[in-house]
Amino acid sequence: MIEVMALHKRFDKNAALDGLELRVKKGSIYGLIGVNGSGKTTALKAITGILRPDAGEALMDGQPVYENLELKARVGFIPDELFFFGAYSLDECAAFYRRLYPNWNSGRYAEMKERFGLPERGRVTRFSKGMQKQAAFLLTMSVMPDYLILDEPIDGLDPLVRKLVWKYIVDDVAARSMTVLVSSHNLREMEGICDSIGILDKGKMFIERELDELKSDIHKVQAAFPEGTPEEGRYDGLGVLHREKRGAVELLIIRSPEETVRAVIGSRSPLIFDILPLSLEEIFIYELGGERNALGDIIF
Amino acid sequence: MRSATSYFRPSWALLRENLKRFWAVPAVGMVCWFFAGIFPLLIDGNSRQWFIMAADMRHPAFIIFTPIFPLIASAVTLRYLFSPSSVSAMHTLPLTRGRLYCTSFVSAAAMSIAPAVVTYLVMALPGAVEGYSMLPAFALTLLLTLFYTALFHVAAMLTGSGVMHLGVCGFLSFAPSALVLLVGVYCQSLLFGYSGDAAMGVLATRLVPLLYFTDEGILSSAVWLAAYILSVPALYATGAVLYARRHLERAGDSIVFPFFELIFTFTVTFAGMTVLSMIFDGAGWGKFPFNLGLLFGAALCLIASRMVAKKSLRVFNGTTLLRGGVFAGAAALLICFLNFDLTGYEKRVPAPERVEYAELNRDFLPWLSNRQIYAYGNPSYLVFSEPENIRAVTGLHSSITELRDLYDHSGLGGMPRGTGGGLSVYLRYQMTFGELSRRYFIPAEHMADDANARALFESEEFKLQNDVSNAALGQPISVVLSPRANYGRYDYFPNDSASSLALDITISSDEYAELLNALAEDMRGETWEDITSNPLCDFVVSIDYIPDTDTDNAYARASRAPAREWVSDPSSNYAEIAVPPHYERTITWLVSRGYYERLTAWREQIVSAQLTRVTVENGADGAVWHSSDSGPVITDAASIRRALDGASGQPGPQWRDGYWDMTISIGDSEDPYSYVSVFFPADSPVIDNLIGG
Repeated sequence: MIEVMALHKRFDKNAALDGLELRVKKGSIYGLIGVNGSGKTTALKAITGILRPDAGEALMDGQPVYENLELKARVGFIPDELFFFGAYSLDECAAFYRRLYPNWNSGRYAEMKERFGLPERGRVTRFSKGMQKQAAFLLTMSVMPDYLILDEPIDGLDPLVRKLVWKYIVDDVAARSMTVLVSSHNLREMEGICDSIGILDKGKMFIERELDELKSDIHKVQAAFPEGTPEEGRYDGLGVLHREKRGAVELLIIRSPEETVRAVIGSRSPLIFDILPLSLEEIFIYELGGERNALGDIIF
Repeated sequence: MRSATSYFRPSWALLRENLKRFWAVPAVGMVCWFFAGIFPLLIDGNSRQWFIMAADMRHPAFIIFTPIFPLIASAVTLRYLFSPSSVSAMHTLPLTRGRLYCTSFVSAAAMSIAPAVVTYLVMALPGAVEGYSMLPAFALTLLLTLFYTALFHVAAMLTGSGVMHLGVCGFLSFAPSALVLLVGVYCQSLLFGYSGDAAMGVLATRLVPLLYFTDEGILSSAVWLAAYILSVPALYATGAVLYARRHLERAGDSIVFPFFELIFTFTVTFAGMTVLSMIFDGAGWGKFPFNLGLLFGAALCLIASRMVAKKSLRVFNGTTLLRGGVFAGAAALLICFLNFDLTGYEKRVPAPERVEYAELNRDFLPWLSNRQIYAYGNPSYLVFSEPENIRAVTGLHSSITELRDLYDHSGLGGMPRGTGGGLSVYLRYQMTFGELSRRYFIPAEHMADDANARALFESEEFKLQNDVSNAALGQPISVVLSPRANYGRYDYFPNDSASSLALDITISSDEYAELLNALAEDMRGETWEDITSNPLCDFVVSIDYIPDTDTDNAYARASRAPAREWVSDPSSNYAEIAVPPHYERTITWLVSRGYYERLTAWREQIVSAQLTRVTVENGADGAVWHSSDSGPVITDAASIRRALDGASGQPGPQWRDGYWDMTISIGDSEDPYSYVSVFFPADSPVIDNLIGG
């Protein structure tokens, strides 16, 4: 389990993390999303023990990660910006990792190398961006991490490789109860794989829910009412995040239980009343757009 | 605890990778050491000079390699700190900061020292055959390699970019020493008696280990050697603490820690302020440009150093203004502190009972007496260890401190003003604990009139140190007797202009002993008045000899000071002793041997004399300027001979109103075969009579 409590980190005068709270259950996949500059990368670096937080704690299995040698040996982290030793080939990188990580799995390395089709020789630094990402993933997965932290893991990967990456992750979560914390802007893919979602805003956790729960709370509603029905008080009792009129039809984003939505709008005798599926991307936009009026005005 | 202990446990996996990745560093090192160390052996295995240099760490190549390879090795192993992506990747690995730091240190030190190990191993056997042990030099190389590796690791922890790392390596290597020297510049200018080559000068040298060790030798000071040995773990620990506190997100910045930014900017500002004001002062433009140099240098370097530290041109803000204000305040405090001598430096004269022995320079004596006496490789300093002489030295010192008002400090040129033509007096005390040194420029008259100076120069201890019989004058190779000739400061004519008048005499052992005894007795009998008189020395005794280091040395037996074993330098083999008129025994010996008549025969061959009026001016920077105007030519030989009785050997600092130079032509009136120069004070009645006559 990953627990982050009241984490603070400042860069000069800017607060990158401002009391961040986060919990990732063991054997689950947690998606960390947020607008640019919301503190995602800083949070991941603090959680993996790269950055020392100014205050607060980042724990794995109840132990602080910072300077914890045993724990770090069980953590795999793929940052957004990759780094490899200048003249090293993939096999040389693997040899280095093998000496450092006690759980290194040579069989998996060989198998993944074949699946990804990466060259054994040749400098990794001369690989394409996507191939470097694959190489980092391959090396990280071969250390058999109990905790996998990923920062934009599929950025630059083609759809086939992306599918392969997610497959390996899901298989390890299922087989070894690996805990995954992933940050990405690709919300459609996150929606398909994550158990829980945390939306980060200005260094704080804005919303943290299980994905199903998050979806069950926010609804996209299409409704039309007979002429003469008063507009005032039409949605009293509902948490309307967004309201938009397209001719006679109103499009609403409502954060309330589905039963309440059905009861309130149904009682107004609508001509049209549909509850439509809402994607994670829409939830992200509506939630943060509602929070930030200026952003909401532009988006909607 | 786990984190702390990891600073002493390298990661062997990473160490191996470092050696594999950066193999080029020891490889290049091996090539360099090979060509400097092993290759010369292959060419000339019996080169003693080469072994001496290598064994003493004076080999120029070794001196350069010792800091260069730790610099390169530290730069490459710590390069990961200077990029956000690499620092993140390295800290993702299951390695603590302690292990990363320790591994980097061990890697850099190993890569730097490995070529030296191979070289010294190869050199050990032929060195032993030649009688030189390579072990001390290797130990020193190892110590300096570890020192510089640790220092350059500290530099890396302070900085966020590769270029700045190299810059700070240089800064840390020389800044402490430079800072001491810069403060010394102000001390020299503002403190009366400050000796630049004393404590602070020594400290400045010793703060640069290469300068110190290569200049002084490894065993010159056990205290400093121990200090350097201890500085390695101290620097290592400093680097470790900085690493633990370093914010990795600062990768890419010039300077990582705010405290070091202050040190860096203020040191650069101080250096810039001092250097520019010295340049302006040296140009002789006066006080206003000098002060402008202080102001302009400080402002310019403060802004420039802030730009470097911030990696931005946008430093014209309130912070820079505030820093400027703080710096100006500190600089003003320093100047006031020194100017008003708040440390009591100028009045500090040691209590005689706390002095083990005192040293006084002797090189002002020729200035004072206007003749070059006792020139046979004498040590530069006279040593006084008798209690009454120590009291006389401290008494002389006290009387000199009263002359402070003569001292006009208004620039950083290093020379006090208003004392042009004065004596340079060095005093050095060996105390029961530590040393104390002072250097003064004082008027010649003060020393001549000082009762303590008289006591010192008439003391038995002085006589012993100047007794020619205590010098290592062994078997003579040649003895040359010359009439009065030019030597010393105002050497307008080459010495050999009078060489045609010299006598290269053949002398038996008995005669040689007689001559030395006569000289020794005359020297012992000299009074302070004799020494400070300004006589024309008619004779000079020049002796080429084989140094006799087995001579029983009366001074060495008598002295309680441990610093002197010989009155003369045992390696010296030439003595030149002027014989003034009061050396009666020596002159008697010359007369009895018939040399006197031959050496004074030139007086009967005088043809004419050219008079020149020399004007002396004291320059603003303490220098003395001489300008000359030709005077009349005197052709009356009898008048010239009479004038010679009132002549002096050389012009001296007490002739502040200038003097007359009389150059006498000897031999044929058409083609003189030699010249002799004698001097007279500006107001000498002898010259008035001569010109009037």
